[in-house]
Amino acid sequence: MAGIDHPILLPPASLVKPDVITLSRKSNCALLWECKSGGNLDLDQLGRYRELLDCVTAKDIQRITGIQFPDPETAHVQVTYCFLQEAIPRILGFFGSEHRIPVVSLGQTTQSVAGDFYDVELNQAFRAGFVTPPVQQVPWLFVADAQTTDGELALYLLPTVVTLIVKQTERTSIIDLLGQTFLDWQCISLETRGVLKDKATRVLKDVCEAEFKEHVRYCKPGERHHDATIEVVSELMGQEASAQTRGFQKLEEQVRSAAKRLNEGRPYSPPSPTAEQGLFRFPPSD
Amino acid sequence: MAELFDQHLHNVTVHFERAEEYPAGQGPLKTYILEAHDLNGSSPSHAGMSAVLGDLEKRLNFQVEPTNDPTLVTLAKGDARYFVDFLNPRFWVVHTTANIDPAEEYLKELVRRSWNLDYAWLPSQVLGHLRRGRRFLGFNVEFDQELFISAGASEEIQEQAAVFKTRYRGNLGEELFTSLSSAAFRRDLCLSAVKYSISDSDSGAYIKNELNASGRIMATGNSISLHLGAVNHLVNLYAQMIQTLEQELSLGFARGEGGDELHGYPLTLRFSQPVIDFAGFVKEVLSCRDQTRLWGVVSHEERDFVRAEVVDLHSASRLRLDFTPTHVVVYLFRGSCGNSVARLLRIIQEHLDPTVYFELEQPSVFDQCKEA
Repeated sequence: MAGIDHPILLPPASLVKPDVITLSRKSNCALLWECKSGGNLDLDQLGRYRELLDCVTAKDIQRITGIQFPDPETAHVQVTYCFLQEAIPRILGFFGSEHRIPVVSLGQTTQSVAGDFYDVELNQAFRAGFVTPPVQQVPWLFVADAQTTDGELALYLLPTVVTLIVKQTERTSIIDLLGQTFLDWQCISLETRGVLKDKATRVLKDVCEAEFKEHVRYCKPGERHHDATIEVVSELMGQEASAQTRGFQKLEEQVRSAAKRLNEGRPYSPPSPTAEQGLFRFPPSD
Repeated sequence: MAELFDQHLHNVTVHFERAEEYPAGQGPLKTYILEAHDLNGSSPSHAGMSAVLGDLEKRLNFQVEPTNDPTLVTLAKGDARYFVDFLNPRFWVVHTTANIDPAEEYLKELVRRSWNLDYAWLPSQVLGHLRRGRRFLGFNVEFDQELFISAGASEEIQEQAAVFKTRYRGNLGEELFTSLSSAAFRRDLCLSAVKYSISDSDSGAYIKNELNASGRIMATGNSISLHLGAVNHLVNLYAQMIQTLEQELSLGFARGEGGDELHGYPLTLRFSQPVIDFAGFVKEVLSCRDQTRLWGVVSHEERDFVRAEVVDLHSASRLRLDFTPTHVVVYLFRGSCGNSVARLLRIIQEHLDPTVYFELEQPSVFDQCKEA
């Protein structure tokens, strides 16, 4: 894994943004993966990838994305398309006799159905195909990109905010919070990180003034702190055991409610006193 | 400290089963393993211990007294006095001769109200391993599937939930345990304590220990050295277990020679049979309640699959859990605590399936603890 969502400029002004870049040091080759359901094939994009293969070298890729080839002079770059199996008959014709771009079919078996990988061993493995693991058994490591909704972002970020409440961490920057939340943060391109940072700032500012008001305060960038930060003001950890448990259970409900509200684009409205009482359980659940 | 406890062992003869009946200070010597973090969540250092202990003094009114040994302090509250050995500042060894009720009550308060402290969580297989090579004097088994059954579950589901709790003391421990382990019972047999003795026939020194699943060792006998030796073995083994989990599983990308390399991997805990009440299982694991103490919000849900973003309230660790009726996948985020995984496994063993165990990709300390 060498990068996620890195934009690559093709002079003078066109752009491709492979979903993932993988690098094999053994074969000194990078693969730029474009992953599609197959519902639509962007022919312009395919044209740009063909252009990339003609005019962009491994050294260019190294300079643009920061990935490091063992030997940039002799390194290879390949574009690979990956489609769901059912889309293959519909799209395969568009690739024609383009052997430089392997096409991978993703069904019960994962298999290359056109083109050749530069790496001979890899080519043999993909030509032979292998059983695709059930989606539920595929590790879920990359969870956010530029399309992540505000609600989804809240579901990932707010649990990290809960760790700060538990630790009574005084202040944390939103950048640090993102780094603690997304395992792949440093692999994500600067552009996508920028988008996520803006979204996270908007989401956290909103939730800190709404559902999480009792627990966390949003602090805009100032002289002392260059980046926006959040500050823990929660008294939850000082409460006795059963009240604390109820407080955390309520926080879970608030995270769900905030995520739903943000996805629907609704402003916060405080729960009515009766609804608030409804959150309490009797007898205490601890 | 050793002289004090040696004297105590010689002056006091006790039965563990009646530990709560003895006069104050006359009960069995008890030693506990606690897992600790610094106040900022990082692995603690000797230098950081004064802040951790100061925090306990300030928040919970424990009196902290230094001793001549810079890695040993006493903590006192009410009738209970504890010697805390933090030779390994991550894994404390806590000794007390206080009666079991106050000793456990104050210790529970200490752990429950300190997010940076936790008990040890020993898998059933590790308890079984620790009895081997020692004279086996008895065992406790505790298995209760009712915890993971939803309140409104059907009669049919409720009837499927197995509960098996018993205690044996005597000379036939090995035979009885072997017999139970080899029967169909195996998947309802969760060791929660083992009693064994260690002796030195040359000197007549001996110690009888009762070790439970949360790392408490009760001791009686005439040799503090044998007791401390058994404690030392346990704490080193447990430290190795937790550090192995953290080194193997801790997920994160690090800049490698060519690009970003993924370190660690998600751990799959596989059940021998599908969960009886899947919804009840997920709800209880994420309930924030003792002993699980996991907070979680569901980020993705479909039939027979739930993904949750999780926080361990004991260590403020960040995890992700994928639940299915046949397995749970644990994602331990970089910097998170291995004890969270050990606790989850222990709770799954006690309430779902005692045969579940750590299956790591590399040979590890856990392999030696499997049944021979």
